[in-house]
Amino acid sequence: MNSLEFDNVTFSYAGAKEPALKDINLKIPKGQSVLIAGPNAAGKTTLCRCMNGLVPHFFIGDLNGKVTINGINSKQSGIGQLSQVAGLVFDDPTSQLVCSTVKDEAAFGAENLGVSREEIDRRVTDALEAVRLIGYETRIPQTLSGGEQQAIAIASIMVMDPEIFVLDEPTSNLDPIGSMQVLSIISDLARKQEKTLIVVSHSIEHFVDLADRIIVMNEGRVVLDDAPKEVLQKTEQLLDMGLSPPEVTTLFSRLRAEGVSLGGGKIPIRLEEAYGALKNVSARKAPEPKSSAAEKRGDVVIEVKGVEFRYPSSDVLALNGINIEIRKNEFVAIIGQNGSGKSTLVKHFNGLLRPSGGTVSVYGLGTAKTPVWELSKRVGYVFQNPDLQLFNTTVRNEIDFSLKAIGMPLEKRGDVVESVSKRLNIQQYLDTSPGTLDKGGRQRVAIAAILAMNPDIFVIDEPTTGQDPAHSRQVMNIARELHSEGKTIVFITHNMEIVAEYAPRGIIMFHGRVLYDGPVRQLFQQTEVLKESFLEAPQMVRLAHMLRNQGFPSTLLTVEEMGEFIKQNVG
Amino acid sequence: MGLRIEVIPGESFLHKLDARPKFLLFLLITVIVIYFTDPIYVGAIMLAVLLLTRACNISIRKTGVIVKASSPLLIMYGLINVVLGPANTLAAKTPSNILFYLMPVMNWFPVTPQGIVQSVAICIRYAIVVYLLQPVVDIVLALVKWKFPSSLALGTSIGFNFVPVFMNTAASIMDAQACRGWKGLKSGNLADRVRALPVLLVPLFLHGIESAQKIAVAIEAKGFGYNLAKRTYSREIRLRTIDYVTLAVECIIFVVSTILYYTGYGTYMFTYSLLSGLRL
Repeated sequence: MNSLEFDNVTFSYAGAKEPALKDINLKIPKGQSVLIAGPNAAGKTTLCRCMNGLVPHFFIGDLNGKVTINGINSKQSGIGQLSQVAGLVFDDPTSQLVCSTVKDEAAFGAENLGVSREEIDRRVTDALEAVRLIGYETRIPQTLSGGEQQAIAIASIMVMDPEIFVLDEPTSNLDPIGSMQVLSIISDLARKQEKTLIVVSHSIEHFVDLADRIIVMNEGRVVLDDAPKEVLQKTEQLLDMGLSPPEVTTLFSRLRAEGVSLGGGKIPIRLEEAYGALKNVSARKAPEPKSSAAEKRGDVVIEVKGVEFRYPSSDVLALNGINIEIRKNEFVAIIGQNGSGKSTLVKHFNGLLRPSGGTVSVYGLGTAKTPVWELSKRVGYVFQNPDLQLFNTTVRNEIDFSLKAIGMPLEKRGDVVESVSKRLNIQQYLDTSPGTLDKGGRQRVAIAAILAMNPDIFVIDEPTTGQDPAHSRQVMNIARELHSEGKTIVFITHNMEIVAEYAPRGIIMFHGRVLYDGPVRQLFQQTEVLKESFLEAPQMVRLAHMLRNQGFPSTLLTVEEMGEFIKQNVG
Repeated sequence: MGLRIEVIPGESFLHKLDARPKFLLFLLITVIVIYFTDPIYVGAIMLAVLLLTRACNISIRKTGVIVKASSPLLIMYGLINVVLGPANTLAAKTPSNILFYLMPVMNWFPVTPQGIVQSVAICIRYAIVVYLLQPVVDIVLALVKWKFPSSLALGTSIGFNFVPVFMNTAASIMDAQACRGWKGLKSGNLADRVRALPVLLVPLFLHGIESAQKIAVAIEAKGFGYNLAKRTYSREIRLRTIDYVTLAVECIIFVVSTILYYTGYGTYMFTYSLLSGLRL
């Protein structure tokens, strides 16, 4: 029997003009593991909501066609009944946990279904063991790390014992450690092949090994549906949709398009396959690629000297003896796990936090005594979530707000608003409400509001977390453009491919200390440091390392560099 | 980061109590601080609360962070009460009570010693309630295990679980707005401050709605509301001797306080007469 069947399913949310799903036909057999990929607004989440009756019973609208979940027609059943068959895990760890202890949280779903106390106890123990949270029973879910919270969310579904697990972007809001933790739980689930597993994710590289099948959605339709090997052969189509196929796949696809043949057959989709295809070639000797960071030495714009910081409610130092200098027109990535001190550090750059010990100065101005609004003329801080900032009725007022706040005279403000909005391509929305724009549009408005103040330094906090690859790149490309105009950029990210692609200099934070500060090219050579801080180099860097004996420089960073090198020096 | 409200685990007798006497203790303290408007009475209650905190081996300095954080509000509240509190209004009717006027030329806003005394009591009361918000996270969850209707109990539980999340969001919004040159709620005159409120409240409100919907979806997806009559509870609850003793003590305190309240004790007049006695 199929676990899930979609027959000609079209669904429009109540009040929406366009259907979110169009003519979906799918059959997913029991025990299959499926990866669903697609850009924002492709309909992935709506598809998940159909799989346990949230659509059409909670999210009402116009559902045409038939969704069959384990033999039950979703229209003719309630969510309560369907929740016994299909369990959902969502992307935001905090807003799906409602109980006061881990054990209560794990038991919650089964209690709702009326499972006996003894049986719940047994299942909770099994589930907590499966997600490696034994010993956490009395902890408070809201105080745990994102990875642990996501593990509880999965455990609470296990306790309900459904046939189908639906995980909607389970790792997109997590740091690298959390992602690894959740990924290994999902791998265990997939390996057993007892349950049907549906995972929505942008991180194709990480799920390629455990998926039997990849479904790619775009604009409400299924556009590709096949085994991973087959789907990933259409690399260009995936890239055009703004998706991120594994780097090795992109590399081989590009080389093939340019007529560089590295053996026939299918394009590799895994690192090992790529190594297999290249291990018998030998490269001509070539100079090591140079880092562009080293030669530029501008004036110091931010100086952090012996900084310590402790949050009022905490015993541990969030920052412990930090010494760094940021020079004019640098492009710096700050990486590290959540809680390592990254945000705490950058919040010192514009006075949001004041050091408990040591000094921070911006353009020679001590941040301890200068108000944030004064520093914000020099240091622009772009927050991860634009929705925490937008409150005006029009985009124009939103941008104007910052200018008014820093005391710019009225006659100047109109011109600035016009030019900034043109620059970020939102001039057509100036008189509409920011709330009506999509996430990418709102992010641009938030950036425009900062850009309007014309700061010299931009701090960008996690532009990649919880975003689809196209959005992350959109923000990073704006940063790159500003950098080319002489601005200084400091950004925080968990995405190592973005670090390799954009930043010449990287800083690794770990437990409140700087573990590494130097060129990104050398950063990814520090195998021990990376291991210690649970970070993983991008696939290209790992491939270059594996190919060292074939004469490849181990400091190659990106698909472009590797492609160039192969074209010049191989064959 | 920043401000956190959470249960601090421990092994004290208070920690080990059943959730029900704990919950009643919270209710009791809340009720009796509302009964009394005298600084000495509420001061004694504050002392008792702090002693209980110590007995649980919990640092007063750390748990007091929340009171410290809300101190600007506390001071404002106190000042308003000095002028507009019922004791002041009543006492100001007798001109000899008036110490001075806040706006001397117009003779507006008279200030009386009675007003000041009551305001001090009200401030302490406020501080106690704010302080108590912390253990309440644990205490109110007693309802879940009690025979409360599960939807009500769950609602309360979610509410309290999300207080820290919500406060962190508020802190992030204030940070994010400060980065746009916003000078915060603490600068300018009263009108400026009122005008500054939407900057914080609009995003907070929208974020609240969004979270509420996510939570609703999450609990719905876990079958909440499916056949409530047959819902099971994984926790067993049983009262032990210590719980019964605590319940009895709580009842006694409640009865005594109620009698004091209805016989007119514990109003600001107590401290006021002591003070006037000293002056004489």
